[in-house]
Amino acid sequence: MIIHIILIGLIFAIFLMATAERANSRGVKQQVLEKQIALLVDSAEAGMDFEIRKMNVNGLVEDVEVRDGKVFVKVMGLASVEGYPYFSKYSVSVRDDGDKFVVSVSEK
Amino acid sequence: MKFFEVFVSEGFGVWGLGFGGLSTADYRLSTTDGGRGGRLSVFGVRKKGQMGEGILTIYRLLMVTVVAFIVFSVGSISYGHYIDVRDAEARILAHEISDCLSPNGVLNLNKISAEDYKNIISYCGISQSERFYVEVNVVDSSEKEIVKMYQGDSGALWIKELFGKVAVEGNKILNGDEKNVEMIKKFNPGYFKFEYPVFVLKDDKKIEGKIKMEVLVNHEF
Repeated sequence: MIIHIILIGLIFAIFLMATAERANSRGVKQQVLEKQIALLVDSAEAGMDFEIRKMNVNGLVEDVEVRDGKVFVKVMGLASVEGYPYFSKYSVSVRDDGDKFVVSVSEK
Repeated sequence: MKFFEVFVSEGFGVWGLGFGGLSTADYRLSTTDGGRGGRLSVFGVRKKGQMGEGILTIYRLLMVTVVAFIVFSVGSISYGHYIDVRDAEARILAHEISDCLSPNGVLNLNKISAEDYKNIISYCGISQSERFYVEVNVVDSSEKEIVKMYQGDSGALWIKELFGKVAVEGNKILNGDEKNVEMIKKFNPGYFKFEYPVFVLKDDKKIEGKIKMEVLVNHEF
């Protein structure tokens, strides 16, 4: 009987955690950040820089990465798996600069 | 005898729940004296009870999983949200292509090869993606086509057209369920169409013309 309760508790715990994960909307915040950055990159000209504050209105931004033509943002511990694609013809790089990330767009 | 009754009743309860119940005859088979009140074959009865308990466990876990999955699904639907930026992407892409083809309001067709007409996105140095479809029609002042440039999946046009119909007849197509319309909306490509006047340079002639551009951006998943 105790084993049953433990098993049922485990199942509920896993699903409640998954539901809580959805409910805290980190995924939506991540989506917002990735798409905002991708649009900024797409519309930027060579020589432009823009900053993303780590203490962002969309939560704590832990990492911003640009690879394979995609933007990946880690928000409040939620790492990005898919990322969001950008199509800029320029070279894009990101550097960690203390309390912010700086995205630089430059000629290839 | 009480001990026996407890087990039987537990066994019966379990089987009853799992398979619709055993008859009294089934229970009697598990006693050494054929159910006439002699010594009890505790092993037989106990085994039945354990098996039933195992089945009940599976049943319980299954029910809990189903309930938890429903809770998760409802939570996911309530809190999940798709942010659509494809229209914005289509607009930006159109701007990039326009800037590439006619940077100062002059489209020099002598610079663009016939092969590049079919690869206009790559010609402009933009990383080609299967998500995009760009079509550029260059026409003269009498709307006669001078040249057509394009690249990408032209099927996006067909999808866009289909969604146009869905927008008009959506409720009819989807049995009046507005939720269904919302669900398929995310497959509707981002779209931007515009036209602007340019000077067209072709074969050392400079004529007044127009660029008509259509840009479609498909979903990313």
